[in-house]
Order: sequence, then C-alpha cells, then structure tokens
Amino acid sequence: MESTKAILEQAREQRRSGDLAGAYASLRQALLAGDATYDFLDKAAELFHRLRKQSSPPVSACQCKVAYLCNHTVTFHLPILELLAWSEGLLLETYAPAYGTVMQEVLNPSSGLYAFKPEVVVIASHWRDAALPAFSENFEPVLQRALDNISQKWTVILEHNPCRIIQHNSDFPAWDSYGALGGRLGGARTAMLRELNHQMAQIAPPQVAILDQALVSANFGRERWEDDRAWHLAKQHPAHAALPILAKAQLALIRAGLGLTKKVLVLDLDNTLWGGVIGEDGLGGIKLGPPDARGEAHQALQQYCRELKDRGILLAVCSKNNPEDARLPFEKHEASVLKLTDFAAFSANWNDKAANLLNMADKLNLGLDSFVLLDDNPVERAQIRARLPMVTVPEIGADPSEFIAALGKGRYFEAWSMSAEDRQRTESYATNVQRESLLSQSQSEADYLRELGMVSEHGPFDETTLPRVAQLVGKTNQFNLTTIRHSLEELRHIAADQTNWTQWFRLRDRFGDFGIIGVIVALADGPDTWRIDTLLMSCRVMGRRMEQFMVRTLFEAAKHKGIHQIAGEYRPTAKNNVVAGIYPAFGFRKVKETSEEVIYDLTVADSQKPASFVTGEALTESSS
Amino acid sequence: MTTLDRLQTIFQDVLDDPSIQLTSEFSPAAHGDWDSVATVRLVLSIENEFNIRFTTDQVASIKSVKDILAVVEPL
Repeated sequence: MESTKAILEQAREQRRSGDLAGAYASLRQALLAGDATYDFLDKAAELFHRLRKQSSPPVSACQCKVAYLCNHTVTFHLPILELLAWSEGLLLETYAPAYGTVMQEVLNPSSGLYAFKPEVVVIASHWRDAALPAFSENFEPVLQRALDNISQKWTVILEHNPCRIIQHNSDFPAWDSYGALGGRLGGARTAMLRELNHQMAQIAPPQVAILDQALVSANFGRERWEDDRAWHLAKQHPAHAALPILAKAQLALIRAGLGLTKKVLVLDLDNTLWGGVIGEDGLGGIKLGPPDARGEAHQALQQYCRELKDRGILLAVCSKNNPEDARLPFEKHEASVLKLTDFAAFSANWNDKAANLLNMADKLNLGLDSFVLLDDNPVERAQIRARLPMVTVPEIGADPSEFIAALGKGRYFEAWSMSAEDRQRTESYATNVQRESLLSQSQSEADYLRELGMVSEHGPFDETTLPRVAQLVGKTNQFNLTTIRHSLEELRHIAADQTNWTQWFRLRDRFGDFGIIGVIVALADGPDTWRIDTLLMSCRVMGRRMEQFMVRTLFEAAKHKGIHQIAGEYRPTAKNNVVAGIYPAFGFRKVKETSEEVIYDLTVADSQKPASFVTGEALTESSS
Repeated sequence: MTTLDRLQTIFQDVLDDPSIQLTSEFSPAAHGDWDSVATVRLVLSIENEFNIRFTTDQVASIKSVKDILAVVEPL
C-alpha cells in the first residue's frame, strides 16, 4: 500500500508540474493495485477531479452519461464512482439534481435531468426515503404508497427518457427502536422495508435493475454502514468508508447495462482448482474435498464456478500441465464438482499462458477484455497483466478459502437479466467441437454449411423475444454495425410502430439450438425508405453465412412492403472491424464517410438476393 | 514531529498543495480549497492519523486550525 501512495504522490507532482498525461498514467497505475480504502480513493478521486478540469482523460474504451438521483449529498460519492469507472476503461459523465429537487426534476419534462439525456439513471435511495413510521397498525396501504412512489418514478423517467435505471433497494436502520420485534411485526419499519424490497423486485420492469443495497450493506457490516455524525453534519449516506463498496456495486450494474460484463472465467488447475500438483502428486495425492480442510476449500471454489457456469458464464482451463494429467481429476476424482463438459475451452500444455489465452479468445470468438483469469501463481498473474492488460486478473492471495471472496468482490459477472440462452451457453460451445469434426471431413466450406442443416426461425419482436433481443443489443460488440444500445423499452417502442421493421433470428442445426442470435432493426425514414438502425449477430454463429440469410430476409421484407431505398450505417469501434466490409458486400453504395461513421445506400430493386445455406421459418409475420 | 507538523502534512495531502505552511491561525479564508467538504475530508484524515474521533459538535465548530488543535492537542 505504501508504494501505491508513492505512485499517487508522483501523479500529483506530475499534475502540479504540468505533465497531465504523465499524471493520468501514474494515477491509473496507482489504481491498478486495487486499494479500495476510502482514504486512498478519496485522494485519488480528488486528483482525478482536478485533472479532468485541466484536460480530458486519455481515450477511454467507453463513455456513459449517468444521472444520480438521491436525497442525500453526492459530493463525496460521485468522484469515487467516476474514478473507479475510469480505472475500468469507462468514462462517466454524471448529473445530479440540486439537493432536494429529485421529484421536481423527475416530474418536469423540461428539467435538467431530461436535458442531460442520461443513458443510466441511478436512484440511490436508502431507508429514510421510504418515509415509513416505526410502526403502523394498518400497514398495507402505507407499504403500497411507498411502493407506488418508487414505481411511479420509473414510469415517468422511462416515458420521458428511455434508458436503464438502477434502483437501490432499501438498507435498514442499524438500530431499530423495536429491536427484534421490528423484523417480526408486520407493521414495523424493518419488516415493511423487507417487504418493500421483496415487492420492488417483483414489479421492476426489465429496464430496471435492482441494486441489492440490503445485501451490500450487510456485506460491509451494518453497524459501520451508516455514520450518524456524517448524516447530521453533511447528509452523507452511507458512511464514507462504505462508499467504495457501494460505488463498485453500482459500477458493476452500469457495466452490465452497457454490455461490458465479463463472459469467461479462465481457471488455473494446480493449487487453484485443487491442492497440490496433479503431475507430481497424482490422483490420490491432490487435495480436493473433505476431510482435508484445504481440499474442501478447493471443492467449494469448484462448486462456485459450477454455479457461474450454470448461469451462463463460460469456464475455461489454462494450465501448465500434461494434457492427460490435467484432465484426470475431472474424469476420475470422486470429489471433483467440475467435469470436462463444464469447460468451453481446455488448454493444458507447456506453452506460455498469454499465447494460450490469445488462442482461446480466438477459438471462442470473444474479446480478451471479457476474460477473468483466476490463478494462484503471482508470477503468472503479473505476466498476464503485463502482456495482456485487457484480461482481468484479480489478486487472490494464496489461501484457497479466499478465492471465492476475491472473485465475488470484483463483481465481474453482474448481469441485467437472464435468458434461456444463458443456461445453455456452454453446451452450445461444446457442440462446436462436433461441428469442427464435421468441418474436417467436409470437401469444402459450402459442403460443410450444407451438411450442418441450418434452420432459422425468425419474426418481429414480441413480448417473448424482447428480453433476449434487448440482451443481444446490450452486449454484442463484434458483429454489430452500429453498437446502438437500445433499452428494452426503446425496442418495444420501435417494434410497436408498424412503419418500422424489426426481426429476431434464431438458429439451429443438426447438432443443437443456438437460440436467438441475430437482430435487425430497420427504422422508417420517409414513406419508402428504411434506415438500418441495428444489424447484429452473436459471435457464436459467425462464419456460417447466417448474415446472408438475415440480409436476404430484410431485402424480401423491403420488397414486400414497397420500400425503395435502404440506408445502412457502419460506426467503427475498437471491436467491430469484422463487419467493416459488410454493406459493400451486399451491394450497398458508400454515400458518406467520416471518422465516426460510414453511410451506405441501396436501391431495393437493384439488390441481389444473398446466397445462404439457411432454411427460413418465418413466424407470426404480420399479414400486411 | 509536532502536532502542527503532522497536521500540516495532512492539510498538504488532503488539499493537494505542498506549499501550505500551517499555523494555528490558518483558516478556510486562507485557502481557496478549504470549504465545508474539505473540512469533512480533513477530519476523516486527521482521525485516521491520530486514531481519535471528533464529536459532531467539534466538527461543526471548526473555524480554524486552532479548533482542530483543541481536539487533537490534549493527547
């Protein structure tokens, strides 16, 4: 920690001497060590604030406008939130209404809130905001009113400004005057707050994520969560010391909303998934499962990983080992929770780990910035950080009992929602192995694609498909022409307008079902023109000419609806270079090019039907 | 190191200004960055450094370094 302070001091010195770029670089380096104490972050945030006033930070991967609504002071909190976001490559622009004006800002359509046009609104309420009495005889209407107050804000905000909302659920006063009864009597404040939290989660629409402040505060320690002195002096909630953990929880949901969540957990083997070295200790010698305490810790970690896998996080192995040795425990050890089929990729060899990770990213078709590496070896961790800075490598210490906590504190895998596709993800990657073997037997790519027997159901967005569509829109980075992140609510609006054309695409082949993997949104732009607002496809189905089928479907629909012109747009990002040439390939003509976008145009009558190996099954296509 | 020296280090750190020369008369009027927010930040840092806790009243009545010394000095 001393060295962290020294680097921060160096950054300050650089700022004072006018070396702003150097100061930003040093500040970033100081933050990398992961010191999450308020004392450190407060000073780092102050420096960041001063630097930002002098010059914009060096280019961040992503930017986001966040409005922060609460009835307490934000002076100490927002700088820390902005700082932590920046340290993760996300530049926030924040807006907070003047103290005590939240309701006015929400209700007034011409308020600063709506002029700001936030992409994410954080409603950072806490227990006082519910304004509940210590006890209420007839508590149901009281509770209902508190709940209505919350949901009314969502409705009004979403009506004026489609966006994502992060709603804090309620924490609890540490000292309830009713003591233990407070949680037991239906009409007591603590019990009502619990019920409020429960009901809030039930009624929240998909564009609202609930930040479980009750849990965050409990994790931090309820007796320290609040500082009454800070409340009375400065209307500060929670205690200063609790701000970093709260900011991290908010940031994790902001990232999830922007599609910046981690997707792959890469695991080391020896002394990570089991104790000991399999190549030396053998199946009987490694420590995994009871009665050995260390063995139990490794088994608990395996269980945790298995649960992550079941909710859609891909697991992978990257280990310096003989491949046969590495597989053995998963095949034969009775205490191994994880089996070989739980891994989407398995890399055990003596090559350098960075090379293996690069290879793995390529094979899984996912960016390395969606990778988290769990490795007990500090040397390996440092090497990966140096060679592949985009990979997240948490400091996990050396005790396997602390690995789960280290993963949990990072909040890497926070998600806005869950879909059926999530639960089947690993299986879907696993069937790719079968496909590869078919590919190796095929004479040509065309043969292979024909042999796959691909079938695509497709149809306009509806209530069943909207959650998955919104999820794809929120997180697809590579095969995505515009990377416009519409919320579910916006997509519903677009689909309701019959002059627009929306379509989801599902794909299955003889080996399995990928679920919904493609989305097109064409917006009416005049009576006979469509503008392609969104054209995206999951990276899992790239290389199958599925995009040909999607664009063909678009052309057919355009003809059917009497559309003459289709405009397309490519907005380059760090990740979507793979689709840079798509529009010309489909016969679009380049109309305009700037550094931010390339505009294309196509006359429908001149369009060629793209060849495809996919059989279509149109669903509930409107009869118009 | 005198108490005033220790406080000076904290003031320089929190206000990010190594040129601060602390006296007991030093007050918000003497430094543009010493506002009510800075007072809270200063108190938190001083509490860390000296392992003490100011009462609500003591924080609310800080008008100059003298008021801080009055809390810290009896140690």
